[in-house]
Amino acid sequence: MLVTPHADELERALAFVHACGTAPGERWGSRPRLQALFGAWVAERAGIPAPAAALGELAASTRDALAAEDGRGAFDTRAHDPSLLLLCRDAMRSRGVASTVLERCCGELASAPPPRGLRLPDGPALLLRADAATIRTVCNGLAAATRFGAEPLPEPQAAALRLPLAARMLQTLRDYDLVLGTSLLRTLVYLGAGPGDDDVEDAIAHLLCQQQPDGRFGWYARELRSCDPPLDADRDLHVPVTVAVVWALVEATTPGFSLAL
Amino acid sequence: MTADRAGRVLDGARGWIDRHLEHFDPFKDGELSGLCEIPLTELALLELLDAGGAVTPDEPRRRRRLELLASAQSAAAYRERPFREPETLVSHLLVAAALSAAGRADAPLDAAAIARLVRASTLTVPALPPHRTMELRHALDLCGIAHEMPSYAALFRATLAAHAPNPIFMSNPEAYILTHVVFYATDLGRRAPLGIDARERARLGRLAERLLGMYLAVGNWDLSAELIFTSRCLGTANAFADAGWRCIADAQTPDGGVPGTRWRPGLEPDDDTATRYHTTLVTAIAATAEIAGGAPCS
Repeated sequence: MLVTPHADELERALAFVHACGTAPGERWGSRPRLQALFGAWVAERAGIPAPAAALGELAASTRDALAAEDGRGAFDTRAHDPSLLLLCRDAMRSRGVASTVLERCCGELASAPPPRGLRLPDGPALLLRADAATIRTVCNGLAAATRFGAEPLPEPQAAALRLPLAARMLQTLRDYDLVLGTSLLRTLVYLGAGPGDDDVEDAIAHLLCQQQPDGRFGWYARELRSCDPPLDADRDLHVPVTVAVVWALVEATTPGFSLAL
Repeated sequence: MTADRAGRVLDGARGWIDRHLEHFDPFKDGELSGLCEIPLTELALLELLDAGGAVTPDEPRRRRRLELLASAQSAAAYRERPFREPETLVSHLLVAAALSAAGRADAPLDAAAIARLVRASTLTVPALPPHRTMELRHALDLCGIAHEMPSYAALFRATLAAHAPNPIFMSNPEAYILTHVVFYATDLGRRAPLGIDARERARLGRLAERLLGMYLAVGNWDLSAELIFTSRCLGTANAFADAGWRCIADAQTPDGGVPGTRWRPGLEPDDDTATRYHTTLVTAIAATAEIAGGAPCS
């Protein structure tokens, strides 16, 4: 059993995620349920104690939401991160829950052409100045290239990437983009950074300050006040952000954790 | 490569400063008030770095700068201001130090009068933030003014820089505190840091490197230049220095100015100058140090 040093914070986050992921009503749709399911599954693999039925309930709730959306013709595989779909399928299978929609989507993904090879901006200056979409692509590419860190890059290459990506992570978190910031944190871990590294420790300290008493991550009153049309705070902000933070905290702080199956 | 790039940036920046010297004149808006001496003070910092460098005092652009400094220093309204408003003293000390370093003795300071002012005024009572106290001590030392201020080590320990700040939480003003603490402790990179041991120096160097990466990411050329200079003052490597000069060179406008964070194309001339002068000047300071090369505090 793996143990993360921030189990209390993660437990509270999971309670929030579970409540959202199993909430009744079509308003929630499949996306936040998939995110909640994934977050709970990652946490379970890291040894976070959770109610025995929690993951099973999330799996069932997600299966039902997928079936309902698919029945209305509203589910589009391309609108989802392929890795998330594959991992959610594994999470469902781990609870003996079968989603015909998800199984079909994952089958289509398996027959899709492989993604193009990883292309990185040439030099630290370009990585520092790259736009958010490019950084997101770089993070996803490095997750795939390293199989979530299970197959590290050669050290000279990894070291050359760590420095500019760490600076981008620090600035992204300072800009309060917690989703991209946590993606960068995970990427650093895949590149060999870990507990004890200043960048990782400072990011963790910052993230832990972003948790609300009910377990959700992110302080978003500003965005919620100014957004037109209004956002659904839990569905559109707090669930994706909380799952992103849970995932990053687990990967950055749990010795021996690997998402690679 | 870094020094070449810095050299090209410096040439443009010096030209811009020369064409905008009137902005640095503390009398440009009439009587002295508020923070009107600040641009002149920053010009004095560039002059301090030039003293003893390759650019001789009779080089036309440097000569014009020195004339502006000397002109202000010799004006009675300027010279008397610290005695009426002691909070302006640091600015006056730096201008005097720059003129002295350039061999100009147009209007030397009355050291005894200033020492009396420091003793009698509220300047050294515990009212200033620690980094401002350090700034005062540095300026007094530069001019050889007697004082009984705490050591650099004691002052440094009281600053934000000594407390391993998390860069994600650091505000822009706090980043400036860090850079300035290093400038004072190292006398603008002209000596080994006083009051900062080797371990702290390495930590600060690493922090300056991380902050430089962060400020390059958001295109803040002002703090980027300050942080490049900070690393040079500390004598620590900065993996982003070359990327920094490349970004600043790309951002520099054809007239040699370097945009500040509030600068936008098409501003009125006064606003255009006001939003670029500091960034251009600090870029010139950093580039001057870069070209001078060497580890200043080995």
